[in-house]
Amino acid sequence: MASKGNLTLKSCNGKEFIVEEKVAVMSTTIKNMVDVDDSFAQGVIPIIGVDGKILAKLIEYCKEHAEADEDEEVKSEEYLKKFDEKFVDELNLNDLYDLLKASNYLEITKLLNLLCQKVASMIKGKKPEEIRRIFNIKNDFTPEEEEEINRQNPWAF
Amino acid sequence: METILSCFSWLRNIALALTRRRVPYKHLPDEILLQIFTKLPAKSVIRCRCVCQRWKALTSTPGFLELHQKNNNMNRSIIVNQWESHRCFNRNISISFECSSIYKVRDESDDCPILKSSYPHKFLYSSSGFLIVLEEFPTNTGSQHYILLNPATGQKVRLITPPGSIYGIFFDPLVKDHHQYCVLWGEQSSSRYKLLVLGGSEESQTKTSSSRELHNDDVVDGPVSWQPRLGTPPVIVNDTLYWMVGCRYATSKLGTLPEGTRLVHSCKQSIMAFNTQTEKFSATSHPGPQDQWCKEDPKHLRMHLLEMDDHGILCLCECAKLEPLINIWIYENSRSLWIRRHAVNLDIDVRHLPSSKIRPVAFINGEVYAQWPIGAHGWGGLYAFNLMLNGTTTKAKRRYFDRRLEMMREEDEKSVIIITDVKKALDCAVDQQLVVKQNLGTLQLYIGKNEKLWNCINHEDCNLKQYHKATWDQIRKFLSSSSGRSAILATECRHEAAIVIKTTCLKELALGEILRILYMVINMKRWITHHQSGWQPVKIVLAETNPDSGWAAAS
Repeated sequence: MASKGNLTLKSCNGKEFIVEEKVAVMSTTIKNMVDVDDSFAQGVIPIIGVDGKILAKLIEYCKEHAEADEDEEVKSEEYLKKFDEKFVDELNLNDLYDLLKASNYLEITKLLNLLCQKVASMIKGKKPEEIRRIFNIKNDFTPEEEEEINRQNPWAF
Repeated sequence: METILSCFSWLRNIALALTRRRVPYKHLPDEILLQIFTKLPAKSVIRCRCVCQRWKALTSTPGFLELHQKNNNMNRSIIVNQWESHRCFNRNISISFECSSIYKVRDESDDCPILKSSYPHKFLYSSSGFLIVLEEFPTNTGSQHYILLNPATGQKVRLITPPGSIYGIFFDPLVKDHHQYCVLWGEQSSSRYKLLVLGGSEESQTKTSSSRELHNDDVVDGPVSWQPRLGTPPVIVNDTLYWMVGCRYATSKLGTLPEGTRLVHSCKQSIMAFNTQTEKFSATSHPGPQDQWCKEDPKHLRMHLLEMDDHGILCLCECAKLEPLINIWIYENSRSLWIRRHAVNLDIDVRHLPSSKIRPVAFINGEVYAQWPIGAHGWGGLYAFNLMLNGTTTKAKRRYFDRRLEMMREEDEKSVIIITDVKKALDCAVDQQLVVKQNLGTLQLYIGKNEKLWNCINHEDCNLKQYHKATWDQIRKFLSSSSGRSAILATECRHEAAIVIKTTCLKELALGEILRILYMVINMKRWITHHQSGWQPVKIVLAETNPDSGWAAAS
C-alpha cells in the first residue's frame, strides 16, 4: 500500500512501482482515473499492456519532467533537452515502439511528441528502401505501382 | 475488480507480446504513425508513400494533408541571408530548419545545398511562399535569369526573361490549382505586362499554357513605369497583388526624360494593384497627407506593404522620419480608404537605430517584425514588436515590448526575407506533378526532367542573323559529327542538350544564348527534331558526314 501522495503502478507482468502522484499524473489517463475514483489513489493501478521494463522507462521520463515543472531552477530547460536527447538515443527499435504505444495509451503528450519526433528524424532524408530496412517493413508494391509513384513525384527523389 | 482487471491485462499482454515479436511496425497504431508523418517535411512524406501500401494509404487522404499543413511548423518561416554590399556571394545556399519556424540560409559548408549556382545571386523577396532569386548570369542580350525556389522542397524553376522584373507569383485563382502558378512579369521600358503560367497538370495544359499580354489601360495619367520599388516586396491579399511603385520613370508620354531622371511618383498612384481574378490593374494612393509630388520628402520610401497576419487585410507600415514610430494603416476595401490602426512606439534609441531606415518585413502572430541595417556599433538586426491587437490605439503611447531575435546577433550584414506563406508552396509541393513542356505563346517553358529545372526562354525576336555564319557552321559540324550526334541523342532534355553544346562546341557563349540557338536549330534550321510533348526521342536531320573521321575532320 502506498503512502499518502504516492501511487502504486503495476505493470502487466506484475512489477510494482511506487511513484509520487505528481509524477504519475503526467499521464492524462492516470490523472483521469485518480480524479474520477479515489480508490485508485489508495490501491494499485494496473497499467494494461505495458511491461515492467517499459514502465520503468516511462517513470524515469515522467520523474525528470515532473521535477522540472515544479522547480525550474534545479532542472533548466537545457538540462531537460539533454535528458530527452539521451533518453531517446538509448532506445532500440523495439523499446521505441513499445514506448510509443504506452505513451499513446497513457496519454503522456510530451513523451509521445518526443518519440514521434525521434521516429520522424529516423525517416527524414532517407530513401524508401532505407526506411524499409530500418523499420523492417516489407515492400508490398508491385514494380508498376512503384514506378507510378516515382513518376508522379519525381522531385521527391 | 482489481483482480479482474489485472487478469485481463495479463491475457492481453500475452497477445500483444506474441504479435509484437514478429513484425513490429504493423502494430504501431495508425494514430501514432499519423503523428509521426505530420512531423515530416513534404519531401519525406512523399517518400513514405513509397514504403508500403499502408503508409501510402495513410499519407494520401485529404484529412492527412490538412493535418500535415496544420502541424507543419513550416508555414511561417524566416529566411536569413548573408549579404555583402547588397550582393550575395554564396554559391551554394541551403535552407535548414533551425528552431521552431525559423529557416536559416547557411553557406556552402552544408552538405545538401538547395541552391547551387556558379554565379552570384541576389535574394529579392518571397511571393506565395516562393523565394525569388536573381541570378547574375552573364549574357550578351541583357536577358535575366530568375530562380523561383520552393523552400519547402528545394524545388526550383529557372526563368530566363528579357530585361524586366517579376512582380509576383500567385496561384491561378480561377483554377484554384496548386499544380500551376502564374508569374506577372513586366518590361522595364514600358507599362506592358505579361502573365506567365508555369506548371500545370496535363489536363489543364491546353487551357492555360500561354503567356498573355496584359495592358494597364485602366490606369492613365502621367509618365509611369509602374515598377515595384526595390526593397519592398509585393504582397498578395485576397487574390490581389499590390506593390509600391518605384520612383524612376523610364518612358514618358510627355516625351523621354533625360537619362537618370529621378522623379517620385504621384501620391495618388503610389500603390499599384493587379486583381488576379479579373486581371485588371488599378492604382491607389498612399495614406496620410498627400502632396501632388512628394518632392522634398519622399514619404513613399518609408512605406512598406504587408499582409496583416493571415486575415486578408492589406496593411501599410509608415516609418516616421525622426521619431521611433511606425504607423500601421489598414486598407478598407469597401470604402477604398486607409485607416490608421496602430501607432507603434518603438522605444528604441533613434541615434543607433534611425527609424527612417526600418524595414518592416512581416506580421507574425500579432507581432510586427522589422529590420534595421546593422551599423558600426553592432546595433540593428531583426526585431519583433508586439502590437497588442486590441482595436484602434491611435496616438496611444503604449510601451511595446521588443525582442531582438537571437539569430541576428553575430553576423555583420544580413538581409532578411520572411516567408509568411510557405504553406502555399507546401500545398503546391505536396500535389506537384511533373511538368514536361509548356508552350507559352511566344515564350516557351522547358523542363529538365532529371535536373528539376524549368526554363522559360524568350524567343520573341529570334533572328538567324543574330549569330555569325561561323557559329552556325560550328553547330552544323558538331551535329554531323558522330561524337556530337551521340552526345545530343543521349540527352534527356533540351536544357541538357544546350549544356552539351556549351561544353563541347560553343564554349564562349552563355547558356541562355545557346538555348536560343538551339531553339533556332530546331524551329528554323530544322536540323533537329524532337518529340512534341517533350524531348526524347530526338532525331538529327542533318546527315552524318564521315563516321570515321569525327567532327574535327568534317570541315
